[in-house]
Amino acid sequence: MKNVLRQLREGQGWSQTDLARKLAVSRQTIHALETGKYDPSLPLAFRISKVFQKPIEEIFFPEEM
Amino acid sequence: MSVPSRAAVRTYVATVVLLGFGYAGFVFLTTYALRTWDGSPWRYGVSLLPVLPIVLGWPAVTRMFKAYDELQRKLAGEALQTAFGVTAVVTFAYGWLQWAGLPPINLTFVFPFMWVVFGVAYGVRHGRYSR
Repeated sequence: MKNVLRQLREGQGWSQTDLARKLAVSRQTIHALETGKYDPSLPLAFRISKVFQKPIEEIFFPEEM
Repeated sequence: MSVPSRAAVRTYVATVVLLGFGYAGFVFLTTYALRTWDGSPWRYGVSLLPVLPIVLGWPAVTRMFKAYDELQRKLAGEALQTAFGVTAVVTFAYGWLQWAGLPPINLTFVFPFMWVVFGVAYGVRHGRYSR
């Protein structure tokens, strides 16, 4: 799955550690999400959506799109 | 879901180190006692002393796993599968090789072997997701 997490995070001026703290996950998890190596669970996707105040489908996209 | 705090990691490491020293002490005591108390009924009880730190340390390991976030749990689960599989193949193969004439190996080596395979497998997966 593709995502715009890095752009959103950098847009807020947050480091990976800042975002990791807000989402209660490790910095490694943020890195894996941003590089597309790991797809989040639905609960984590909802937390990400809440932190950035954007719907999930504006943050994550299927590969073919 | 969360991620282990620095304090939780420090407590875990301190517990493991303390229990490691406890284990080493019990191994020394047990091997000494088993050599000198030949024929004593206490041998069986004393021989189980090194198991105690593992039993006492297990809640610390469980707490650490519970504090992992979802990616860390996934990595730990995959590493556990690898450790289980490798240990199963190696012990089963060696068991049959013993029938063919290789010397017997003490069962106390199985758990440390499995733990080392788990550590290596977790480290390799951790590295893949960190680059």
